[in-house]
Amino acid sequence: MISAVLLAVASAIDPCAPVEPAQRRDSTAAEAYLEVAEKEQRDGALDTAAAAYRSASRADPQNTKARAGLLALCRHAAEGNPFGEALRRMESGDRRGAIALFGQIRGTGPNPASALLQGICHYELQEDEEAVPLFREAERDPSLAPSAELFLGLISLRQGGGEAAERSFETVAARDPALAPTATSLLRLARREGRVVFSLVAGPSGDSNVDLAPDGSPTAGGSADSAGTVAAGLLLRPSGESGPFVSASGTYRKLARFTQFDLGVVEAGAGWQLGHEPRHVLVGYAYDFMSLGGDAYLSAHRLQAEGRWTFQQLSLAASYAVRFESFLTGAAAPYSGTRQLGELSGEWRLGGGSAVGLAYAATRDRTDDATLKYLEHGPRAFARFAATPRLRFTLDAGLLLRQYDNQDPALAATRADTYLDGGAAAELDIADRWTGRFWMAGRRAFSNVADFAYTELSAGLTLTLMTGLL
Amino acid sequence: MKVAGFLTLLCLASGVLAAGEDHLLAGAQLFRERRFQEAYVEFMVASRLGAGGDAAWYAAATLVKLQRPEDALEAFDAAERAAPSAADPLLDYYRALACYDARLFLCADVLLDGVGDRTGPRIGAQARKMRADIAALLSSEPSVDSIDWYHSRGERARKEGRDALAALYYREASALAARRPDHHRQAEARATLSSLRKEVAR
Repeated sequence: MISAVLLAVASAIDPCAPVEPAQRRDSTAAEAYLEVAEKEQRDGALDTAAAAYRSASRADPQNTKARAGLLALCRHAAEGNPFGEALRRMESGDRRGAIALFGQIRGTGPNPASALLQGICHYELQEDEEAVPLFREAERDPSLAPSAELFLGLISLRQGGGEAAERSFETVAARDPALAPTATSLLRLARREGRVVFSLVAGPSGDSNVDLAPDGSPTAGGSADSAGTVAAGLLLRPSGESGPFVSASGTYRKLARFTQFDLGVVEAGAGWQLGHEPRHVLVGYAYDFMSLGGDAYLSAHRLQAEGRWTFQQLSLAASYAVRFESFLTGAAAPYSGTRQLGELSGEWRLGGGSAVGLAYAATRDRTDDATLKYLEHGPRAFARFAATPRLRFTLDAGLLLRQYDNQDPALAATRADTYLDGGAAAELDIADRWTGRFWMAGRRAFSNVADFAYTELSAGLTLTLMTGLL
Repeated sequence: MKVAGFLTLLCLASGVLAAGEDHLLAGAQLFRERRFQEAYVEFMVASRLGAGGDAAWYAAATLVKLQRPEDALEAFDAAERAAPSAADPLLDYYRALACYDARLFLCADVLLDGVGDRTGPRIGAQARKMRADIAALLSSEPSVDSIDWYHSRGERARKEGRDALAALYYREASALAARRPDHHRQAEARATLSSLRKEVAR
């Protein structure tokens, strides 16, 4: 974004391109063009000088001064303007090449603009240690200081220093009106980030079918109900986004009518993320405990790994998790076992937080009861759209095909289900740390056993507080 | 863009092109096509060939588009001295943009105040937005570093013989200093301005 601002140089006039003579020779105009060309060349405005020399040459092809001036500019361009070449490499994505050239330019003397752009290249390569001193160097030029400060804030944010990032973005917003909207958006983000992040979520919801069994099958007697949910979470990342982390969260959903399905979930986890969101790998462990209707319901250990690789607008991700599940009630105990989940996804990032993507997921549930084992897989499409910096929409639609391994003697059939899922949500940042969210979701289940065909619709409204504590 | 449209209309309405006015027209057309380097060259040639004082104003406005705010400010200053009657609110708006791009926020604010809605609703809204941004920017007491920066820019411009530009920086430094209780380097800025006025008047 900043590089785009800095690179917004006027389109260059090519002094080496052939000149088409005008229909009528005009030596008076040619002399006037020549005067302008020479003045612009003296002032260092070589593009404008080239335009004037070209016009002079066009008006009077025999004007030797114009031809000589154009030739000199052509040679100069051919010899190379290191800054222009560095910009060109940066724009084309050759950041290493740009870094080398900016380094050469800075080697000949202080050059805050080159320092800033070289710093941006390092920042984009996630080389924060190299980028910081360059931004400090660029800050010495007051006209570049806000841009440099903005990137220093982004680095602090990336390293989990929410408070430092907050200070940087506040400074930028106050100093530079052109960067103020960007800085204000980032300020909002910075206030939600940090080495310790606390979140609190609460809100009502409604569900047409609250009593589904662990594998998504409806049980008899269920019906629609409304609920109120509260959740709290704490995330500790001493080294920022890249490094070890510990998390803990708790959720309680209280139903209005079917209180036997009141749900409590406690989760604690730890792991390590190497790299930042665009390119990272993560491994982690989590323990989940769930209660249903006030009774212990599930105890599960989960191991997970994920990786993401982003190049320019394309972002690819893969994830895998294995969960060792122990259901603690008699009715649900047969569902105990090992569940493995994997997903490959790719998305095209459109900027400003908007993206469209496709994913393919597979789940293998190896339950203790052989009749409940299944393999499920299918594609999913999703889109995120940032209407404004504060308002976002998400859409999700998927198809899942589930095939059970064995015939269920009670059903006299081997179950095969198909699920059509859809969801949509709208999120509005009400204040720096507060977000309101309205969501709705639907599932249509088809099955070769009629009892397992159902429709579930749910919707809810949540208010989230998220704040960086350190 | 409005400058280009106005020029085109003017030239077409007159029917006969006086010396240099074909270049003025060509400049307007190139400006409309956002070929600002070539437009600037045409306006400069028009000015040299006697198309009148307007060409110098349009050349200055084109320098704003070429992101050469300091050159634009000097060009506006020269155009104003050569043809003060050619100024209009739209050109003041461009001049304000040059001030803004050169970080001469008080200079920009004064010009934008005069622009008002006289250039139409779109430019008027942009002017109001810029004035609001400037008001927010200047709401706190200017720092010593900030004032020193204007002095250093002024000194550099003066050394380069760009007295009109230097005067703008010192004027901004003086006005900003007036917003501090210690009037940081205000006397120095005023003294330099006084000396610059004499040099410019010579």
